[in-house]
Amino acid sequence: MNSTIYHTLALTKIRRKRIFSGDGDILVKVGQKVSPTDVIANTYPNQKFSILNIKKLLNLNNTEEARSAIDVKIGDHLKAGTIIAKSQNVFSKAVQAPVDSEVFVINGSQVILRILTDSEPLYAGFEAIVTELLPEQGAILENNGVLVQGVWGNQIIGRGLLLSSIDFPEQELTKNQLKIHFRGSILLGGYCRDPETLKLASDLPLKGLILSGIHPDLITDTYKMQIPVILLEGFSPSPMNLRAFNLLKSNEKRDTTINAVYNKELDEKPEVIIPVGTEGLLPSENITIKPGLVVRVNNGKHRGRTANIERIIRGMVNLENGIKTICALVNFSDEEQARIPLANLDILE
Amino acid sequence: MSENIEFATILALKIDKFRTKLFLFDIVGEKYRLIATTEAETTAFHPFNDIREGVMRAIDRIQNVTGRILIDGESNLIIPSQSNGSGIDCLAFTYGFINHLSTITMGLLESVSMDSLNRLISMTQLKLLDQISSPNPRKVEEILSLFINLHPNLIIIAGGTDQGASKAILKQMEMLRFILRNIQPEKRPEILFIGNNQVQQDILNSNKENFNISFAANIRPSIDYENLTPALEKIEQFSNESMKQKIGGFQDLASYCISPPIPISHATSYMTRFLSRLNNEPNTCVLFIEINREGTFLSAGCNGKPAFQVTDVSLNCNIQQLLDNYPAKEILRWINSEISDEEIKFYLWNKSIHPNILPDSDSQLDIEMALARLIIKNQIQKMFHNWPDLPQKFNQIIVSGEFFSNYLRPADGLLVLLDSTQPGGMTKFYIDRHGIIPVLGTIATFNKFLPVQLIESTAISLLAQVISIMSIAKFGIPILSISIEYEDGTKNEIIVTKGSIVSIPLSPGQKAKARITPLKKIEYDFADRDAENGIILQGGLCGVVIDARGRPIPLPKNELQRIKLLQQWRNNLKN
Repeated sequence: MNSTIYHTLALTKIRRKRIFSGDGDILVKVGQKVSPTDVIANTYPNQKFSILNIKKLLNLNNTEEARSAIDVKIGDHLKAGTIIAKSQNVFSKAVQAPVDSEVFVINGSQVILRILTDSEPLYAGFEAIVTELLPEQGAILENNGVLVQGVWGNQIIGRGLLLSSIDFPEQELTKNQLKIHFRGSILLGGYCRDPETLKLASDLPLKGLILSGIHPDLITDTYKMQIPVILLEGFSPSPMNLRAFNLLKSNEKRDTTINAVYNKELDEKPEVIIPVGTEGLLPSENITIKPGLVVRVNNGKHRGRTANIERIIRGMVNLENGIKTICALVNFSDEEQARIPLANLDILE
Repeated sequence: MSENIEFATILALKIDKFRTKLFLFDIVGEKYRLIATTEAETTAFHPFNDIREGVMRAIDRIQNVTGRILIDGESNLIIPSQSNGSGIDCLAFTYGFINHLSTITMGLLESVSMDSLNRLISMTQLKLLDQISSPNPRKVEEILSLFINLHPNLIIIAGGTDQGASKAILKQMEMLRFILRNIQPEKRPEILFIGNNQVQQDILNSNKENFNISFAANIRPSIDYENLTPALEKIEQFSNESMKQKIGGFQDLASYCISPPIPISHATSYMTRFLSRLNNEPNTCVLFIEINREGTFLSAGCNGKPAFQVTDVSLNCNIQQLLDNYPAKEILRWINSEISDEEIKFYLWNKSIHPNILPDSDSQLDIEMALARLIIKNQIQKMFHNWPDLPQKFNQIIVSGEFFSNYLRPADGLLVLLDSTQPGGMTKFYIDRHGIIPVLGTIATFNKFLPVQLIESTAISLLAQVISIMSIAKFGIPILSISIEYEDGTKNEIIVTKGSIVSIPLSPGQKAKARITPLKKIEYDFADRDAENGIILQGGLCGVVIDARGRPIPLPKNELQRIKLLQQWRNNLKN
C-alpha cells in the first residue's frame, strides 16, 4: 500500500512544475534565476471579454466598410480610449476601447476585446533556476536544499531567516513567545490556538510561520493574514513530528522560504525550502510501506509522533472499534511500540 | 448456457481514481462463480500516469492467490484461455473517474428541456459546469468567458419537442457557433445535439466550420415523454473516446475488451434496472448505494425505470463540503456517545487533510457513521427531487463500498442504512462486499448468464429482511406480537413496542413463518401478503428486523435521552 509521502529531507533536488490552465504569458527564460516571489507567468483564469459590433456602432452599410474602418489587429494591447475603428464619413465617428484590453479576435465586423484587468500571477515559490519552459503551460524550476512538506497552508509565499520559538516539539506557540527580535524572520512554532497570537505575528511582523498545527477556528484568521502560515501536522494539538522539528531546528538562521501556495487537486503540498549549495538527488514519489521506513502517525492517540516501521503485521488486525485492517508494528524513539493502521501513517522520507 | 462457453473465464476490471479492482470469474460445476478479487492503487496519475501499472500489480496478486497464470512473459494478457488453465477468455472493463470530464448544457425551457438535461447529466459521470437556457439573461461575451475559462469537454444541447420549437434552438446553435469560432480549434469542446430532430439537417447545413457535432434522438420528443437512453449511449461513446486520450493505458486495456468499456454509472444503472425486473414481485424498486473514495453513488431501478444520483462528496473526499453542509450539531444528533463539538471539528478537519484515515476509536467511528447517514439521506432527497416520479419506497436496498464492507459490523451497517433510508413496509437489505454490481452490469452487455448466476450466489449477502411498522401509539406501548415458527418446529413469540427496533434471531438463509397480531392500531404494507395468517421470513447476517421506531425517526431533543435511545437501538440490533 502507498501511504502519502511528506518529504522531510536534509538534502534533495527540488524540481517543481509551475503550470497554469487557460491562457497566460510566460515571463521567464531557461537558465534564469528566480526568487520565491518572482512572477514567472501572468495568467488569466477568469477572462472577460467585450464584443464591439463596429458596423452597428459606426452606422456603416456593410461588413466590408466595417473591416476597413478597423484600425487595430489581433494581439494589439490597447489602453482605455484607444481608437479601434473610425468611420470616414463627413461626420466621422470613432469606436474606442472601453477599458485596457487586448484585441482577441476580429470576426467580420466584430472586434472582441479581452479585458486586461484580471491577470493572476504565477509565482516561482522558491529560489530556483528555470530549467525548462512548457509552452502555454508554464515552466519547470529546480534547486537543491532542505525540503519539509506540510499538510496545509494559507496560500501565501514568504522568505526570511529561520528562527525558532520552541525548544521541544510539544510546545505551543503563545503571544509571550513572540519577542521583538523575531521580527522579519520565518518563525518555527508549535501548536497555536489563540487568534491574538496570529495577529501579533502579523503585526511584528514576521515573514512567515511554521507551525505544527492550529485550532480549526483559526483557519479564517490565517487566510486574512499577510504572511504565509504552513502547518506540518494539522488541526489538532499534536506535537510537531520529531523528524521535521530536528531538521528545522538544525537549520536555524538560514535563508528559508515558505511556499504555502498549493493546489490539492494536483497533489501539491505546501513546503518549507532552505536552499543548499550542494547537489542532491530527486526524491522518490513512489515509496511502499516497508520495514525501516520513517513514518508519522496521522490519527489517534499517537498522532504527530514519528516512528520506524518494525514490520507489517500479517493478516487483519482488530482495532478497538471493531474495524479490521492491515497494521504496521512501529517503534517510537522512546522504544515504545504500537500497532498502527497503514492508512493512519504518512511516509516522511 | 452452452453458447457462452467460449467466455468461460472472464476477467473484469473496475478502475476509479483511487482503486483498481480485478474480478476473476469462471465456470465451476456448470455455473459461473467469482473465483477471486484483488485490488491495487490506481496509477492513472503522477508518478505513473498509466493505469496499466495498477492493473499489472492487481494481476500479480490474483495470480499469487489463485495460482493461475494470466499474463505471458511480455506482460500481455493471455487471451483466450489455454488448455493448461492459463489465460482468460475475455476482459470486461468499467471505470469511474467521476467529474474527470465536464459539460455545459444548453436548452430552452426550465421545466422541459432543462429538467431533462439535469436528469440526463445526473445519470452520467460528467461534471456539470454551467447551464444555459433560453432566453438567457447573460450577454454573449459572458458566455464566451464561461467557455474559455471553464474548458468544457462536451456541450450538450437539447430543446424543442419533435415538431416543436425550432427557431429558438437554431438561435442557440448560432450563438454556440459564434463562441466556438473564437476558441482555438484544439481547445474546442465536442457538441452533442439531442433536441428537436427536425432541425438536425439545418444544423448540419450551417456547420461550415466543421465543428465536431454528433446527434442522438431527442430526449424530449414530446412534452409527456422523455427518452434518455440514446443520449446516454452517445455520452458513453464520447466518454470512452475522451478517456482514451486523457488516461494513459486506457486505450490499450480497452483494446483487449470484448465490448467497449462502460462508465460505472451506466453499468450500475443497468444492473439496478435489471434487478428490479428480476424479482417476481410487482412494483419492485431497487436502490443501490455505494460510498467509496471517489464519491457517493445512488442508483435506483423501479419496474425497469432508472434513476441515478452521484456526488463527489463522501467519507473520503471533499470533506470540506461535509464541514460546510453539516454543522457539528447535526452530526451530534446521530451519535450514541458523549462527544463534544470540538472533537467532531478536530476529526473532520484532520480528515480534510488526510481523507483516507481510518477511525481509530469508537467515537471516531461514531462520527463517520453519523456522517454516512447524513450523506445518504441528503443524496436520496436530491434523487427524489431530480426524479419526482420515482416511487418513494424501495423493497430492496443494496449497499456497497469499503465503509460498509470493511469498517462496520453488519448490525451497525444495517442501522446506518435504516436511519438514512427510513424505509416502509418490507425491505430486504443486501451488502455487496466486493463492489461487484457495476462489474456485472458491464458483463451483462455480452453475457446474460453470469450476472444472473452471480446474483443467485453468495456474492451479494442478505443483511436483513426488515419490516417497518408505523403506529400512533405512545412510545413504549406494545403494538404487535409476532409468533415465529421455525423450520424445525420450535416457536417463539416476540412483543414489539412502539419506538423500538428488534432483531429476530434467524441465521443467514434460515426461514421461518411469522404471524403478526396487532395489539394496537398499526400501519404496515406487506405487499399483499397475509400477515395475520403467516409470512415467510428469511434470515440475513442480522437476522430479521422489526423497526417500530416510526417515520420520520423521532430523536429526543435532550442530549442524554437521545444518546441513551441511540445506544439502545444499536444494542438491540447487535443482540
